[in-house]
Amino acid sequence: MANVNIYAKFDYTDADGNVYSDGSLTTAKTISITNGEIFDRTYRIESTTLTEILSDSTLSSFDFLWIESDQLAEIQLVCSQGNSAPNLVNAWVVKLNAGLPFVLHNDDSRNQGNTGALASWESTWTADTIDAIEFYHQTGTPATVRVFAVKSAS
Amino acid sequence: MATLSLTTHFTVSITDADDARTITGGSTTSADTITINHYYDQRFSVGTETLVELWSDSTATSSFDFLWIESDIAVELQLVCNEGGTLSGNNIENGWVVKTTAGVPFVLANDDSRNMGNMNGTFNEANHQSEIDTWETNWIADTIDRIECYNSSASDAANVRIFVGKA
Repeated sequence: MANVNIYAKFDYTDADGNVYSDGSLTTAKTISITNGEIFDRTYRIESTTLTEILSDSTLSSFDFLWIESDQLAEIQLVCSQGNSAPNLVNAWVVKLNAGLPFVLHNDDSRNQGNTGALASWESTWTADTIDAIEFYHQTGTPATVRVFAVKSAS
Repeated sequence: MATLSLTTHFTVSITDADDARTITGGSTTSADTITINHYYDQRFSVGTETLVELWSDSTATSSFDFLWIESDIAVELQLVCNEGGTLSGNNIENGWVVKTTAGVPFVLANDDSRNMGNMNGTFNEANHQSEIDTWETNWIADTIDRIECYNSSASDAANVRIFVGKA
């Protein structure tokens, strides 16, 4: 059986010496990927060049996602790509700091159902999955971007 | 000035007899650092089939440079950029849902996102779909204003910790 082993931990001590921490670097959280599929690619992306870095045409779904860029950048996540009401496409932008990974542990999200309204999303938006991810940066220096995604067999 | 250390690492060991290998990313020994001077640390018990606001820029830190959310059961998070933004303001609010995995944190190191601009002057489905494809020019840089948590479980409450840090 193969697993993705994930370690994440933060440590913070404030100016008064109060200590805050969570997570672990010795005890992994595991996601089973037995007989699964792996997408592991490093892109070189020029400044102001919009690039699709993952889509369900290359990996139909994922149970673990890691994106890390060496430049300050943005990614757009798209759920229900191209769909109309009552499964209206939804999309979102996340800014990535250079060298800090963006990690998801499944591809579940929600499309906007019949409406673009944000309120009452828990009842009016419809469960669906991330279909595509695009990458964009404006730093003036080419970005090296690693995308690692895993899909379990089930 | 205080510094928060964030360490993230993954490994995957492939055990095929003729193709064994280990794939890794990140590090357990080299931390990324983020300057934090203000913070918000809260634990919520989110009841069954219940929606709870975990954080907003009006009730806690006005922005964040670090976000850690961890729940002991899978929950959904809605992130809202430019809450209340409108067509007439050329800054339509945008929202997104992330599903977490039990015991695995959802982490952001930046609250920057984008609102949906003015949807080409008309709020309709066609423009919504069209500008999703041209987001890098039509959507406007903005920040996350609010985070809600929904526990869809009919039997178990969720214990959720949120730690938010701001420079």
